[in-house]
Amino acid sequence: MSVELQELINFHLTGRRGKDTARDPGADFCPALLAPYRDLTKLRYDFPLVLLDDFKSPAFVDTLTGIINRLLRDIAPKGNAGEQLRQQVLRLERRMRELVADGSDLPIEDLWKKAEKSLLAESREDADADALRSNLGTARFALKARGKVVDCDILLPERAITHAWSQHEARRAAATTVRLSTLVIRLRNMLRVDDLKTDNSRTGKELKKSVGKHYKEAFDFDLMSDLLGDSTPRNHLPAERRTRIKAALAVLENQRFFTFGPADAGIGGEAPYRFLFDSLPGALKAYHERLEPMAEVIKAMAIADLECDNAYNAEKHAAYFERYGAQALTPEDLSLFPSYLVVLHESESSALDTARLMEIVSCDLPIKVMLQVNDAFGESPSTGRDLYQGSFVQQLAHTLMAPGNAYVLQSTASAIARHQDQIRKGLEYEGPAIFSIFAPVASEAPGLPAYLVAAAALESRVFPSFSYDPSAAGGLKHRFDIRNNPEPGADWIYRELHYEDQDLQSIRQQTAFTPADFAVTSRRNGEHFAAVAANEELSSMVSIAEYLDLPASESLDKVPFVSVVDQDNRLIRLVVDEAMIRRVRRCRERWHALQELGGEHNSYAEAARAEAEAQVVYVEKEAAPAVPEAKAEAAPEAAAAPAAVAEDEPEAARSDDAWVETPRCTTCDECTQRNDRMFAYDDNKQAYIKDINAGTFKDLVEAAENCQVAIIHPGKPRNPDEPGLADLIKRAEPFQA
Amino acid sequence: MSTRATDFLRETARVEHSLEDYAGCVPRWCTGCGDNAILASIQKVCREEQLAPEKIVFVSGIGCSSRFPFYMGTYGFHGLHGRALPIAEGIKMRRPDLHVFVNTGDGDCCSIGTAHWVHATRYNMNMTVMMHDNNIYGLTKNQASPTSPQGTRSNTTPRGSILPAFDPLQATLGFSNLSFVAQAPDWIPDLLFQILHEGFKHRGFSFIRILQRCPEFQANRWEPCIQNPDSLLVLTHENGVQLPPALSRVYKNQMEHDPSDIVEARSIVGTSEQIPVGILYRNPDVPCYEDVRRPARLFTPDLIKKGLDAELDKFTIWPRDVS
Repeated sequence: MSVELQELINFHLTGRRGKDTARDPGADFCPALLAPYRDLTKLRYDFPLVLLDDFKSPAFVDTLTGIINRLLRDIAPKGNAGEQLRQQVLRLERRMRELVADGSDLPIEDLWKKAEKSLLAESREDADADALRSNLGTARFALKARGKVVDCDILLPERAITHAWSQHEARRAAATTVRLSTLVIRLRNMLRVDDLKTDNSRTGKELKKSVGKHYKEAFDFDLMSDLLGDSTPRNHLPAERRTRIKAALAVLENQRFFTFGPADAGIGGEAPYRFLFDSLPGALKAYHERLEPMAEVIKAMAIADLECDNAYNAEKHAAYFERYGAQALTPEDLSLFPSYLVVLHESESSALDTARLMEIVSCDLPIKVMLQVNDAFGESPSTGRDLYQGSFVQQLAHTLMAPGNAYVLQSTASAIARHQDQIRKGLEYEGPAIFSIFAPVASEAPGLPAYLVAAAALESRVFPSFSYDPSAAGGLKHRFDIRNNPEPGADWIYRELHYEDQDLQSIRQQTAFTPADFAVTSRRNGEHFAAVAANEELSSMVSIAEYLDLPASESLDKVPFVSVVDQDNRLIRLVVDEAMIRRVRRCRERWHALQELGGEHNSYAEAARAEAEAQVVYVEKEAAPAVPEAKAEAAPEAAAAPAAVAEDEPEAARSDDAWVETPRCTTCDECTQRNDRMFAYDDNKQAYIKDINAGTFKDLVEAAENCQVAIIHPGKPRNPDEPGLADLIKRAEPFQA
Repeated sequence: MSTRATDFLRETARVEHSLEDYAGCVPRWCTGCGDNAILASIQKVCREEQLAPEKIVFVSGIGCSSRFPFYMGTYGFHGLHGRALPIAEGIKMRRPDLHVFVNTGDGDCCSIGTAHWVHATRYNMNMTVMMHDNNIYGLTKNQASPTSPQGTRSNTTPRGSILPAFDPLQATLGFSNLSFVAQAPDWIPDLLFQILHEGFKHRGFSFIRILQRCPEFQANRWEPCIQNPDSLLVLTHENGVQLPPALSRVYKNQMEHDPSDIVEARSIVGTSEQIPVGILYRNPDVPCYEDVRRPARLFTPDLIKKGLDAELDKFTIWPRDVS
């Protein structure tokens, strides 16, 4: 073994550097695969984002690129003129992207104007400038999207989630306030109508108020009062009911969960509640304190509903409402009220917060928590620099998924737009929701855009994306989702690394992007790497992906490395120490666990498939092909079965008694008016013979003759001595069944 | 949207409605009048659906049929001749929570109220319209109506009516935005009930022409049909009406007709030798006008006052020194 190799192995195993070898990387490196993308302003990609202002639409975010694409599709005609417009709007988009990267924080229409002004200032005053002005003006006029343009930075997760939550709560508030307002108006109307029935409302003074000022002198209101006094309605609301309505109205008017329109004077006394918190204790305290007021509102709504429908039954309902309290609130009730949003930053959260998060999840509280992770390779809060344990906060989302009742989303800032459906579902979910979002600290990765670092965390499996939706039916397959990760079935993502070697030969090489590559983006991880000069590279150096796949016995004399580029774009290999290797392995294990939950390489499924395949082989070899014939023989018998179903038998022949085909009676009153003791209507208001002895055979025959639908059958006479019987029997003949 | 508590409490205090709960005054129609059968059937529909009587409105125009609201124990509006539909539309627009039924006759609907009928169909507001077609003006004692058969002798046509009868079904099947058309005979209670029930359940403008007997002035009009069940063509379908076995034995002339097929519906009405009864056309996807025009904001008293003030301010004459 050469001295150089021995030194590198020593660094790899101990993480300590020798005197002359295994140099500290020192300078800022960039993972080789990320090098082509360091200047994102030149690329069209899914940032910046526009936080859409339209709360009625379920979409809360859109990409600037998407908005521009749709705009051009709508306004750019085919041909040269359209192509010119397209090119100019794309120039504008690029300028907007540059402005955002420089820190502009403006609504899209203002950013557009700023970029437009900047482009026009650069252009010469000629025909092209006129066309530019005209085309950009046309496009700006057609721009429908409204909202703030934001870049991928450390502030993004909080801004995006808070915005989505605000939009969602605005939709909820719109629905609930319409309902509350309707109830308030209807209760007020009931009281007002009752007030109008009082003698006081008919005094001359009150009557005068109800007439326009131009006619105030035209009437003698006192005389009018005397006249109306006689006709005052007496059916007032019972005092108990009036008190009940007033109490319910007072609760609805003074509740602090929703603000009514400013036009609704008199509603809401104290300041409305706030539901956005930056600490868990504050949110939990507020939630518990507001449970009773919440129950009061639900109770008032129920009473108001019943009163408005005239369905309140004091005998049955009073006892229920007396006992009604916070303990009776259901998830459906809670879903009428705003949810609580807590924004937590990793740097400010403590172990106590973890316990509180568990409380929220265990108690199924409708609290949404946005947990911002700034260090995807963070350290354990209990053991400090315990790399083997990995980041505790990083695993928190996975941990909180375990009870099975919390909506959980883990992702990175770079993928926020792609996850907007999951974010919306989490906000709509009745129970707790945890959004764990990684956004890098800019100072940790100088020279690399935050978007690139966040996307790298996702691609390297350091901070994989997953969501768990407990409301989805059908088990884990439908609840757990890792599909937003690139190539979810693979351990690592392989991309093509294109470089030139020392002989200026172009080389293309499939290279895995691993957690170690991601670690290079952070200065703090520099101690785990040692730069190797090109002339020091040894044949025993293997890429980290290959190294991880080697059996332990074969990896002893191998040194893993990652490929990076320096600021001059020179390709360099960094040797990775064992501590980092352990961390990479840990990331891969966690990724495997997520894969298994997401149905990729599921050990149960793979074992079952292997068993099934073995069974098929066995059946093919051993089973006799006699089954089809056996089935064929049984078929005719089965086919004959439907023929055996008895046809609908006609009704049994009637006796000699008189009878009415009641189902065919058209309720024409003919028979009942002829003899209402003999004929009557049943519960369906159709005729039948109520008492055959209440009339004569003649009555029956005449009823039959006059029945328009001929459904009365007189039968045989019961009294042989009835006069004119022979004639009646003859007349009855056409109506006998 | 109601809370679970409200639903539970409403259920505990629920009142079972019987036919009597829907009965109003004692009907003064002639003995044997088909209106009695219609009244009984619609009361059964109300009972079947357990509608709260205070949530029902019957609106009518003028004519024998239009006495209907008096005989229902619900809210009612006896309107002007031919104007039942616009009144009903106003009620539905303002109070979409109410179940609106309209009773109109062949004179009321097909003569003086025709324009309202055309546009009410087009507006497709959720209501059930019963057009009692006895082919005659009965209340005013025997004058020919638009649907009177050619040659009808009446006080206004002593030598027999000259024009062929107007066919309300052919007309309705040509109106725009149509959503439900059916025809029912008043003398087959089960069929009448089924069709009225389906009409009620349809969300939209359900137009049901009811062939109605008038024993006083058109005594022989439907008699042949009653005596000869084969004169009717009963339109059946799994999505329409189906005859029970007992009636199937009497009314053997049946045809499978899919109510979503408007072309076939027009063909049946235009060419069938028998009188088609059943659901001719139904399209549940036509939007209801009251839904389309539902205001985005709740009209609170203050909002209405603000709007009125804004409108009236347009006519304010400001002093000269204020521009």
